Amino acid sequence: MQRRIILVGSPNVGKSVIFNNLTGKYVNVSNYPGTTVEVARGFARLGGVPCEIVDTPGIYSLAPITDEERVTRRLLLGEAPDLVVHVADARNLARLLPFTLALIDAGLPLVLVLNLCDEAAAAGMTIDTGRLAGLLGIPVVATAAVKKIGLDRLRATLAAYRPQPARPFLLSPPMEEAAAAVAAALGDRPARRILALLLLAGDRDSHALFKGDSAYPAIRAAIARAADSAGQSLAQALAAERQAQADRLAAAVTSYGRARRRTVADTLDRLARQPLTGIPILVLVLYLGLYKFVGGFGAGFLVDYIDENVFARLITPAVDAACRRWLPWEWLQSLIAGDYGLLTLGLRYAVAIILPIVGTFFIAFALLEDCGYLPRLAMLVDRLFKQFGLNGRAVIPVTLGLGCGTMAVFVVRTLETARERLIATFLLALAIPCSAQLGVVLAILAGHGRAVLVWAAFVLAVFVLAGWLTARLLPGERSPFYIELPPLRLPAPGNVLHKAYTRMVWYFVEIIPIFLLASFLLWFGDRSGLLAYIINAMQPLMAALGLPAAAAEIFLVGFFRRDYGAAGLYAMAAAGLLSPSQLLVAAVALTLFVPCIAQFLVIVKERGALAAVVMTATIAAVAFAAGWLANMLAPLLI
Amino acid sequence: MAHTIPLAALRPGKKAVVAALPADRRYLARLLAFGILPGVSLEVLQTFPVYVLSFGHTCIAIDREIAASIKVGRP
Repeated sequence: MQRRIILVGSPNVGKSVIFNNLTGKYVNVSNYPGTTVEVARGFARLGGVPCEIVDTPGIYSLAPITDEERVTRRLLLGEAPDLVVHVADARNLARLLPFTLALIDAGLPLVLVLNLCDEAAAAGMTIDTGRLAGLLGIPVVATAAVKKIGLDRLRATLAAYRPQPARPFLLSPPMEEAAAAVAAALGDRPARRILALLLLAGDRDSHALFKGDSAYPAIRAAIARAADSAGQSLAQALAAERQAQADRLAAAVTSYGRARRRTVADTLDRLARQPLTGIPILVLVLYLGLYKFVGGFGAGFLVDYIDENVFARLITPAVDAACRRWLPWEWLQSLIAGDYGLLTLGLRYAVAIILPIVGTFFIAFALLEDCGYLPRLAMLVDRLFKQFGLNGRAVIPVTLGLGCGTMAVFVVRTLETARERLIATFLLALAIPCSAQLGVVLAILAGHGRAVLVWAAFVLAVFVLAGWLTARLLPGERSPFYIELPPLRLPAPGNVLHKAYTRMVWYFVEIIPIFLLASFLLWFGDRSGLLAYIINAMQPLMAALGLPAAAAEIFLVGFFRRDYGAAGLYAMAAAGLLSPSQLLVAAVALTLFVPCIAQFLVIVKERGALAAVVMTATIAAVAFAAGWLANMLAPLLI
Repeated sequence: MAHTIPLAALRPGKKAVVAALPADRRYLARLLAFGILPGVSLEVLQTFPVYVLSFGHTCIAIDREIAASIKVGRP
């Protein structure tokens, strides 16, 4: 019988590092981890028993605010896990213990992991884990996962765990009476105590759960009585009682010595968050990370190297020769090795052009994630993003969108309101070029510095204008901005590479079939004459943009994947078929153009078919208009 | 506490003790989850573009609206 173990905890406490360590390479990457949106599932053998380990989106309490937090709550309260591992930051023990107490209230089989114990030691804190385990009635393990300290003990503790529900920590008599009254109305059901407490605290999800229930009036009455006698917000009173218990527990097990000062990290932290220094740092990060590393190294050096030395020199000629020799039918030869061949086009685009660019982006993004820079980025842009009806938190999906828009649309779930999710999805689809596009655009415009600036100005202007307009046209309120700023940390190379690798595998599994399908459809269209017909039909549009007729093909395949279209543009530019102003127009239009089919499908899944269709039509119109404008202005600008 | 002011009125470098939290659930739920409760002492590190607060070993950033909704008193 397989055991299911769920890892929970607030963001930035090292859950994913522990997850990677427990599961090793056996991770199911169909739901990619990291900025954990869905959940990542992995497998481990603990004490000879096969275990499924689940890594969940970070949460601070069992009362969810965003959709991704709902995922975690559902896993905890809805799916009866065999064991829950609460991963907490040892330095913030007092602040994180209320959540442990809530998990005990929920009657979950629980182990507490005090991670980052090396940082706690550096801060002068010593925590008596044995004493804490005794007080809580659950196993407690101290770890420093990044340094691989305590992980063997954790593994042994998990393997040896036998269910022994801890006794809940009782609240004040009036609060316990109120909880008992609500619990009585709930009838006999699992997790009764925590549901009663959540209902008392006014948690919307718990209330939604019982709204239609015949017991709901009785629940409401019990809550109203408790609120009357409490005299203040029940949520606040409950939190205060819990915090007092947590403070007492933490004080009983913690002793303080001398703290080592983190002067370098503190200075860097201040520089990164003050606007005067933070904005230049932001620009520098984008310049080095995106322009130099992804654009220069990934899209420039690696793409050239793999395309020229591996494909053009070795694979393509070998496949051509083999096809001519072994395959008697011309149609089959062209399907595999022709202009639109599965191997010479589909696989080549995927491996030689897209993989190096996306791979370097994922490495850069994982670095930013692991050193704790992203929340600082979010706070710096909060005021700007508020103009778009978003708040600073949206910078995380937007930055990820610079890597892969499809992935980013999933991450939009971390935003609070439906309106924010809609706006962010729209902007991602319209004006955020993915790394593949970005790399290709930077590569083809490489010789024309001004064209790069004009292109960037165009895309940025569309982003700002579209965001500003959408925020004004779309009704609804914006949500408040709050984010925890974790300490800046030196990322562990192993974790960065593991994260980048996992995302690359996810991306690759996702795109290869679509690339192959796209080259198959192109091959079919080419042979049946359909392609020529469509390209012919699109000619007036291309002419309006001042582009050669052959560019129609790029826009056509651009719908299958924007990056695929971008790769086609790269090929045309490399063949010298486009003038600098044509390159600019094509780059602008293609950057803004309809998202690739994968992103489109995710938009349908996440936001609904109607929103997806309306967005796509709007985007096509805006992209065409911007391309037309770029064509008109090009003689003046470059 | 005799005299309280909105947290948003504090300048960078000032220390204060939380006196009262907003009633608005959207703000309250988050602040409680972060462990910001009446009686917690905190330091304002920065006020622009957002408010950055440090308390215990935690550092959080909140926007002006949330900062204005928290009442604080002298430490």
